[in-house]
Parts: sequence; structure tokens; C-alpha cells
Amino acid sequence: MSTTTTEIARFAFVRPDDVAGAVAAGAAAGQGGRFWAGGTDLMLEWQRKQRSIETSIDITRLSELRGIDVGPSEIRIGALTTLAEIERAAAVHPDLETLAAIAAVMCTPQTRTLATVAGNLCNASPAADLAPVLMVLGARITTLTAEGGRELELEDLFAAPKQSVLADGELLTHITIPLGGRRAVRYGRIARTVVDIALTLSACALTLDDQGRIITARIAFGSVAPTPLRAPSGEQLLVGKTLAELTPELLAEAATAAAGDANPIDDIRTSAAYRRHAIRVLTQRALTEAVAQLSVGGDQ
Amino acid sequence: MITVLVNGREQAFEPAADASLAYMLREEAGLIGVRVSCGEGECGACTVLVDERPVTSCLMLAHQAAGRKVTTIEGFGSPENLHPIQQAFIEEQGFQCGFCTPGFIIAAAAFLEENPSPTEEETSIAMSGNICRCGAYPYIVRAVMTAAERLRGASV
Repeated sequence: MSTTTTEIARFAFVRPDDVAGAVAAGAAAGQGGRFWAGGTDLMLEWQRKQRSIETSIDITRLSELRGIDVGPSEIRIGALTTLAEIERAAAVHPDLETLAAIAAVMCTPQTRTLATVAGNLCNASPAADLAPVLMVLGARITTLTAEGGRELELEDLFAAPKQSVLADGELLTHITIPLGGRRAVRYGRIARTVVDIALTLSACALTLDDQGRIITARIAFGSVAPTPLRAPSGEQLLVGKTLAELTPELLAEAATAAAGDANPIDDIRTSAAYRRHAIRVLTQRALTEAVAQLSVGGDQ
Repeated sequence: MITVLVNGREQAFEPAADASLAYMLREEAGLIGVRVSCGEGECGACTVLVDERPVTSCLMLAHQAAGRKVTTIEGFGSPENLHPIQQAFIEEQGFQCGFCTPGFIIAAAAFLEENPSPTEEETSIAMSGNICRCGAYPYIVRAVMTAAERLRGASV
């Protein structure tokens, strides 16, 4: 492992050779340590003096944390998989199409080369675009510290704006998406144009069982609450229904109920009132598209 | 100390731990074709290739480039023998002031490597990570389309 400190530097830079070295470095660094991957948020927070960092632990060389593997019952996404790689992952598995489509409109091509999926999640921005779609995919995250590992639901990662529940020295190693059933994943996103951060984002996933009933329904939002948010009130109206029972009226009702779970604010990008309206409309459209997708698939 | 393969030449650097790659390339290597405009990863002026992929070098730590291959606009063609993308930008007037041009050319090179036969729309979207304050966008898209045609011809 190489360590660099210079007189004018204000943090130490360490580059562990493997995951064990990384969590050891995280434990040694304690409160002042930060795992540094793409660094596209950290660099700005550091330069704007929004964050104090004593030790930056460069994890970008840990190749075991990179890449997407599809197994029989789950998809595993390494923490360091970049947005550029996610963007090209639609061919890897159909359930990743929506994730890929969202990655393709995040930040810019040359920033997507650097930015990682774990960075997008661990920075815990309420506007993290990958979070809602990974949440509707039922994603779990696995973390490691020098003491050992744990697994948690992705939706339990977010504590507050820009604050995750991870402890000092706790490294997110990979994200797991369970497979099974016939699933449609759709989203709606409103932003000024490409490159812009979303004003609101709604994602939904509907899964059919063998009897043609909705076995799981998940709806999640970005940019309408202090954290990325599950919207259970809308989901409950859909579970157990057949496709024929998912009428436009019921989908509208579910979208309205889901939007009730949102808790948006006014900020520089748009108003709370607009977000509350838009999230309902986006959810209704996403649900309608998901039902249409499942209906077409059923005829095959 | 780190070594980086910059435009085909192995070079040693001693950047501060928190220095950006853009800072190191400009201030230590003297490669001022790396433009720093926003310094926040929005404008693309500092775009360079790291292991052949485009990155906003203002957001990357210099130390993260250790042992890697970095290409800046200085590594594209020469005044006597311009790269086809550089030639196309001149012919199609893909710039006014030229400040953003190195970033655009490098972004275009990375894009055409992956998609040698793009549509105009694909080209516009691929160039979305670069800002041109002069507003030369239609000419830039034309330049990239022209370059694509020539590069396809050259590889046949």
C-alpha cells in the first residue's frame, strides 16, 4: 500500500491493494477517513470546504468491487461499477434496462466515466437517480468493516440529506438485485435537459406470479423527500390484483396515494407544489407503462 | 511520487494529495490545452482520456492517474499533421474563441471510437458534457459528423 502526504496537502492519500487493506485503512482513519471512488461529489465538497477529510482512501484499484454478474437468482453489481458501465448494462439483463436508461441521462459522459454506483448511493443525496430504481428492484447492499460484514435493504441506507447510516470505515462492497417472476420496471423523470439533476423522479416495478397476479409492487421517488423514498401507500392498492383488475382508474388511485407519501420542498430547482403534482403524474404514467409491458409479455 | 504515461511519454510527478489531474497536467506538465473553466465537472473543458476513456480531469485526483495512460489535446496530431477531428473542426468552423475546443475534440474522439457511424442526434447527446459559450453547437455537430465520415473512410 502506498501512502502520500505532502506539506501543502490537507489530507493523506492512501491506496490499499485489496478490500481487506481498504477496511483496515478505514478503521485506522476513523472519523476523518473517506473512501474515495469516482470522487465526483467528494472533490467538490472538499474544495468548497463542506467536508473535512483527514485521510482519503483510494478504492478505485480494487478490481473485485467492479462489474456486474448475473446469477440464477440475483444480479450482483460491484460498488465501483461506473455510471458509464451501468449505462451499457441493458444487454446484461432485461431488469437492468431502466437502470441503464437513467444512468445515461445522469451528469455528463465524461463524469460518468468516473462516477460509481456506490458513490451515487453513499452520498445519500435525495436526488440520487439510481436509488429509486434500485429500490423498486428490491436491491440490498452489502458492506464490510474491519470487524465483519452486514447486509441491509437499500432503502434503509439513507438517514438524512447527504447522510447515510454507514459507520466510519464501513465500505459498501456490492449491491444485490433479487431475480424471479416476470417484472416490469418503468420510470418517469423530469429535468431541464440532459446533464441536469432531476426535479422529480418516480420509478415503479410490478412483478407477476405464475397465476398472473401482482406478487410485488414497488414505487419509489427521488427529489421529493429528505431521502430517496419508498411510497408504500400506492403499492398496497396493487398487490394481489390481476392485470385485468389494474384499470386506469385503479392506477390513478394508486398514483395519488403514492404521491401522498411524498414530502417535497421548495428549492432552487422547482417548487414543492410542482413536485407534488409531477410525482403523481409521473407515477401514473410509469404504472400504466409497466402494466402495458406485462400485458404484451403475457400474449407471447 | 507517481509516474503517468502522458501523451505517450512516461513522466514523474509529485502532486499534492488533493490536487486534481487537471491541475497537475496544467501546472506540472505545462499542458495548457487542458482547460479549466467551471472546475466542477459541468463544462467538459478539462476533458482528457484516461486509459482511452473520457474524464473530467478537474474531478479526478492526480494520484488516481498513477500508472495510467493519459491523453490530452497535445497528444492529438501535430501542427503539420492534424488529427482528422481537428481538421474537421477547422473546416466546419466548429468554434469561435476556441477555449472549449480541446475538450470537445477529445469527447468526440472517445465517442467516435465507440460509435463510428452516429446520427446527428446521437452526436448532440454525446457532446452534452461540453459547453461552448460561443454557441457553436450546430457547427460542432457538423464537424464531428464530418470527422466520423473521414475516420470511417480511413479505416476501410
